[in-house]
Amino acid sequence: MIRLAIESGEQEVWNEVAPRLRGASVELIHDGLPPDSLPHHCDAVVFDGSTDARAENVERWLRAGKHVLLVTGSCLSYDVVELGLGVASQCAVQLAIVNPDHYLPSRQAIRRQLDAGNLGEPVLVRIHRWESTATENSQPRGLLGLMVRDLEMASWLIGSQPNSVFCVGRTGDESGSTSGRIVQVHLGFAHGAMALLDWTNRLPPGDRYQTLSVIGSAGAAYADDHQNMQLLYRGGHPKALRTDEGVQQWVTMVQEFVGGVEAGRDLSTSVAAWREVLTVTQAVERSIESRQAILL
Amino acid sequence: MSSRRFRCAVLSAIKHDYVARGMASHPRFELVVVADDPDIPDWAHERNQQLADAYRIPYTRNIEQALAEYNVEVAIISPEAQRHCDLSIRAALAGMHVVQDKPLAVSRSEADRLVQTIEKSRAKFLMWNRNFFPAVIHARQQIAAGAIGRPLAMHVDFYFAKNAGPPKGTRRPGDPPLDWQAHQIAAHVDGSDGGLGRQPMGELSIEGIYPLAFLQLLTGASVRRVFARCAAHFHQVNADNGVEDLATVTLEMDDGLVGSVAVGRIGAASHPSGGEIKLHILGTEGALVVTEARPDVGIYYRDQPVKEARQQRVANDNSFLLADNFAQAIDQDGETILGARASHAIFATVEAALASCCSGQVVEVR
Repeated sequence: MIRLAIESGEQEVWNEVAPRLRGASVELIHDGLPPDSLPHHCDAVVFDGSTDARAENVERWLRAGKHVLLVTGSCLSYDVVELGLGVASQCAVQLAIVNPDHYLPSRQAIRRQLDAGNLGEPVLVRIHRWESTATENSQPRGLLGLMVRDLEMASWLIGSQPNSVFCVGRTGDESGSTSGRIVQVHLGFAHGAMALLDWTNRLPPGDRYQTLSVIGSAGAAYADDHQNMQLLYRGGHPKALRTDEGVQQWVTMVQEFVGGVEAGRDLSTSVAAWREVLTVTQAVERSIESRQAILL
Repeated sequence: MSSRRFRCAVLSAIKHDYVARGMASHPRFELVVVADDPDIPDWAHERNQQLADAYRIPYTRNIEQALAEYNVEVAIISPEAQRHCDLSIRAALAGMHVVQDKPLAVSRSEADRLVQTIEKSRAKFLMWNRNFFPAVIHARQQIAAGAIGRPLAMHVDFYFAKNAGPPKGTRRPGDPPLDWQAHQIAAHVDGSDGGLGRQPMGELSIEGIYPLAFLQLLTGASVRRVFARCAAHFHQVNADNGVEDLATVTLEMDDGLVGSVAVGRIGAASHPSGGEIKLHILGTEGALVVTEARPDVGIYYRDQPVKEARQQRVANDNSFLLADNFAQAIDQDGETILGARASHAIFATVEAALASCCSGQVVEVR
């Protein structure tokens, strides 16, 4: 049994996840806990991305001999990747950095079909991720934190890193705008594969919207919030209410980590892979500044 | 409201006859003759004759004679792509109003000449489009009513779930490359002949008009810069002829508006009902997610043909409304929903996008 400490602001989610896990127990902790109150009886720590996890927190846990599962978010940087790899190796513990979107049931279903070859070669990934202006203050300011998951997702689905990047965007400080940003990234890959990623936090306060299309040479998959809307009638126009994918995402993600730790698998490859994603992210930043395509 | 009827000459119906049939769906337009040049191949004459027979009207192998003798006011143009401009220009010079199938032209010089001729002759011009599909009308109404504020970004997915002959990778060693025109002629049987003509054309050139017309209609903005990627991933005929069957375009438009288009003929297996066609529009006050295929009805039954859509579009009045729009433009000396100059702007965007695909760089739209 692996004892997990979860640093999270999402207590309800983890209350649902905990009883579904095999071979692991869960204890919730809060961001910024003083060192002397760390739950040292735990074997591993999960930063679920709902809090603003800092690099020094990750390092502190690693140095305390705890395995760490870090969900991508604001603290991801070259420094974190290099530091994490170095310290984890030094302290003989495991560090895994994961994109939680991989574990959404819809994405898992797409991944299985790709792996089975049913969609053929993936040739186009299209993502729209629209968030609310209410998230403006809870999100990292740089492009890095905004797009990194979707950049990684595109490469994960296509199976390689892009060789060209073009990005356009709008910041939220233009006259006549309310707030929020729009970032649109266009990726080219070897063999003619491509990706279009659209991110914004300009939706009015309320629900987010997300869609992923994967076009393969022999088929296609469409995971679209639009398809998962139910209608609520209370007079006037009905409201569209999304039936979401529940907590299975977190169960699968943590279970995979627990299994890796138990089996002593080397999880550092998951960390090293983020180096390449960060290189793409830097190209995105250069493209938006120069208004030109960047070749990688 | 005028009820004057317009006598129409169909100047070639060899690519598709849906434009002529669409115009004929409106009571103010009457097909009176099909005409074409005499020196076209036999298969082309046969197709023209079929349409003439269907409407019980004559087929004449002399365009100028038909325009002079049948007292027509409107020419409906749907030949091979490389003859679009020639026939439209000849019709306009003969005093006809023109309804033309896509694409506008296969070269910049022809596109320029067409616009000049249309404007000089004061003819009305309509490029056939999908701007009156019910979901597009609905989106337009929502935007006009201020439901999402001022548009800031718009994205269009435009995928036709259609095949185009054998899949890419199926040509055996030693087999010759597939001939573009021969394939298109053969594909007419099942309606998958997207780019009829001698000159191979990719999906962006053939179908790009539709999503770009949506952008133009719903944002009113002109495209200034593009970055595009394209490739042949699905069909051997596209691969053999070096034209794309999938393209993605990033668009920078007036007033900082941004957008994107993904367009492709991605294979019949990619969707159960003809293809995913979707609009995502983000505004200052909200956003719209629109499926072009709505309203639809789900129909499933034992031994259903593979090619029959499971979700069938209903209440689509696009053809009638395009024709009605054209009639109003003539009546009121106004502009059609997709006139010659607007079509030229789309042509220029596609041209820039194809240049970007080749260079890998951002290209200004001229």
